[in-house]
Amino acid sequence: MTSARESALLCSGRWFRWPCALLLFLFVLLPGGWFPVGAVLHAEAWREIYQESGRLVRLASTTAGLVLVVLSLSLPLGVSVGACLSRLRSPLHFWAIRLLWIAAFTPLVLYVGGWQACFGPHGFWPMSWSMRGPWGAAVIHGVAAIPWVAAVVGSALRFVDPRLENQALLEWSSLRVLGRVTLRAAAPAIFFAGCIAVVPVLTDMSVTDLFAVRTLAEEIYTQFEAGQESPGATLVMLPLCLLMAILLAWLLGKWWSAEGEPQWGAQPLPADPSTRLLQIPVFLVLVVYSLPVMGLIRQLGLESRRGPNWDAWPVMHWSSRVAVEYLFREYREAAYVLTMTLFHSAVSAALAVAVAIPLAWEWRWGGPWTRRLGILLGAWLFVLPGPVLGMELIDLLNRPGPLGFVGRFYDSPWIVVYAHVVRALPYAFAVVAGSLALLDEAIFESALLEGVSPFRLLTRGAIPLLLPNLILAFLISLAVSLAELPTTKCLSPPGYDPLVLRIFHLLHNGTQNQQAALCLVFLSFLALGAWFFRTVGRRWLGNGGAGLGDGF
Amino acid sequence: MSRTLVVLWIAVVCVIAGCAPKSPEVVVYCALDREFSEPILDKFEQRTGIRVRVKYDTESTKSVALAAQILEEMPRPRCDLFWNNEILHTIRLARAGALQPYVSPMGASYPAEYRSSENLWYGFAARARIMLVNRAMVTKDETPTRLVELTEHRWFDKAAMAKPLFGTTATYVASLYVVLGQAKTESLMRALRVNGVEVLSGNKQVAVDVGAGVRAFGLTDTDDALAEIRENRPVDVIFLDQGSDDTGILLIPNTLALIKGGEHPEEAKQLLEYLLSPEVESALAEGPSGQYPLNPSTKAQPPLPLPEGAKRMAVDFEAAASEWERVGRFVKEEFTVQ
Repeated sequence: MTSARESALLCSGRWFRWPCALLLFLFVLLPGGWFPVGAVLHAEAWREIYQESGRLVRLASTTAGLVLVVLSLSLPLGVSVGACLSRLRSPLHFWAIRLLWIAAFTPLVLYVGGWQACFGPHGFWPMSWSMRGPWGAAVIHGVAAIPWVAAVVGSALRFVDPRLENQALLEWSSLRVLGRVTLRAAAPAIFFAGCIAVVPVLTDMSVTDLFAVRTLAEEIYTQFEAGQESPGATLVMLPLCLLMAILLAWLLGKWWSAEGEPQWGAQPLPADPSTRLLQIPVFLVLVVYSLPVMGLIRQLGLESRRGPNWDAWPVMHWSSRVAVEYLFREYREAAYVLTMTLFHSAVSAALAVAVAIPLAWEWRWGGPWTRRLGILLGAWLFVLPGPVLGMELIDLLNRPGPLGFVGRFYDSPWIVVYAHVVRALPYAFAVVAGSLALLDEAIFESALLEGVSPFRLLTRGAIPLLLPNLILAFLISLAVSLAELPTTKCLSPPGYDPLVLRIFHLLHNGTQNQQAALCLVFLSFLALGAWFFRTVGRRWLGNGGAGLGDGF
Repeated sequence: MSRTLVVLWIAVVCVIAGCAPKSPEVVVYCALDREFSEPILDKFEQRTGIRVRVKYDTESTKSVALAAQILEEMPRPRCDLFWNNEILHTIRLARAGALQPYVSPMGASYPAEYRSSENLWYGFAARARIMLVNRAMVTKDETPTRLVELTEHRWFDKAAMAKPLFGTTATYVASLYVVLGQAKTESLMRALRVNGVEVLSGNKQVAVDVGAGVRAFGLTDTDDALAEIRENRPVDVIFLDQGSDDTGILLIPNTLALIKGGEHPEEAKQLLEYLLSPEVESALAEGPSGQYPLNPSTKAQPPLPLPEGAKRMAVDFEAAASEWERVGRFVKEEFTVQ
């Protein structure tokens, strides 16, 4: 029997390394490093930090405040819901799972649309603080993060050794066992989930732009749009992003190296009066995700008539005729946009998985430093702010002269596809690499002994085994691509109008009915996709395949 | 052999497809709200068969973002025609050498003050800066008639305006720099901020907030005000600063400009002529945006006419464009941090 290291060399092979290096350069190092390195070497960036330090500190403190509020909202709720749905029996399980799946892949702009429909100036419960300032933005980011926190934590709880729980159950109640044994064992995953919740605050400006909240990501976007790049803000963001990337990489490494096999068939913890408390967060989450949908349906058919006097409030009433009219109009108008968006996102997702496979394969058989670096680079791409990536690609590809051919690429929608591949790659890599890490090495060693080449080992051995996981990676990448806004906004060429950008424009300009109609059209497609996703996930669980687990 | 034939056949089809003449098209960067501009551009496309590829911007980065992109793309222009919803940044593009001069037959019928002396841009269909007031919250007698009155303590936390770094709000502030002077304008802006004037992401949000009663007053444009009136909100439009010593109403024209080095100059000229026609100005006047025609040949009247004998702000837009650097610095310092 060959040693693991020898197996690694055989599996990887020198022929494989050069294409991997090229993919790494094109999809990781170039998009992830061009602008940050440029900002560090930019004298203007250091001058701006020196001269506008007070302003940059205020922006950083707003960002930090937003991060804290998002964490305090998403972590307790997300952990409670994840724990309840994965380790306890809940009467709300059926609906909660379905709503969470849809919510996980809902773009942030849709959350804003739903929020406006509930609590905005014309919502059914208007709150004046809700549509501006940090509180509204923090609540939206927090609510959007809950499904991801719940999924990560729920998945991690499946790896906890049941013997520890059974022993503790002899003395403690289920809730106490959950808190002191199960959650404690999954601590790295909980911290990892916290980081996941925070990353959109650092990288996305779609919510903060609409709520007029001044964060560092918002500053980079605003100054870029105003034609005055803020290299200082980019430079200030870099250490934050690097810190977050290192933290994510370390936590992910800790989580993956945790002992234990996934207990997919684990019995739920016994129900007792103490566990009823955990049903409350699940119920709250159901309400939180249902309310915006009801608000959108209400807004869809809302019609106003002039009040009795010219200075009186209008009389609002709901009309099914108006609702149907707007809904069908948006379905008709959005049909082409939706088809085009789905096509491009599907291509992006497929490319992301295709790039992730060889990189994950190389990572799987690399030495410890290769593996650490691989996770770190993936984490870095994950935390890179969207506007920075957009500016980077414009700077790289909008070039005249002998390099004019890249300008043609820049003029086409394929620039957006490329950007989406870069954004989705960390997710695809995490799923594929995590699945590969859990495969038994003995499978490969015995195949190598029989003379199977490394290429056939990958294509005929690993890929068929991991097919459900690859489909999972594809669906996650598809969701990321559909929801991606900051980079898309910077790069979209004239005439290219993906659905998420259209919704973003409408949230600024359109009528309430139009906004609601488009949000509901998008949600209906998400619901279909989530149903398909869930079905694939179940098949994957049924196969007992390796992977991160769906947590529920 | 059959496989080779199939491959050859596919290759021939690809070559033919690649060599086939592309349908004519024109690339437009359009800052006017999509709901107003899209029907007009669609009509042009139907009439002429020229495909119009449009890039719009969002309310929160109105006009400045597109102008910045045109400047950025100067070494390799992608846009053929810039349809700006204001004038300041079109002038900045002209000064940067990004525009292509063109003597427009249709443009000649517009007043000289609304077209470039070097034929670099043409103004048409204007909007007015106004104050929207919620009548359910403020009576007619109490309503301020001058911008400076919004700095009074009784109106603390009652007003809203859009971010003055973008769009017509930026044009308004730059115009005040020319008319009132830098010191007075900056003092006024600071006083507004101190008196709790809320800065929102765009004019549309300002109008929506006033219509919903979140704010009593909002500094916005006539097209956004009309949207709230159509929604039957209890709002009223106030044309500020009509006194003899006051600044008057700022009328901000849309502007059209050909981009130097654009790939489709002939199609862009055709579109420019169409947009400057009285037919389009009438459509913009009578349509939901209610814009004010500037061409004397255009007879259509907007639903919100200017008051009889209204005093207009006498502003030199070229001078306002020169002030932009200072305005940008001031606004960045005062209005872009929480």
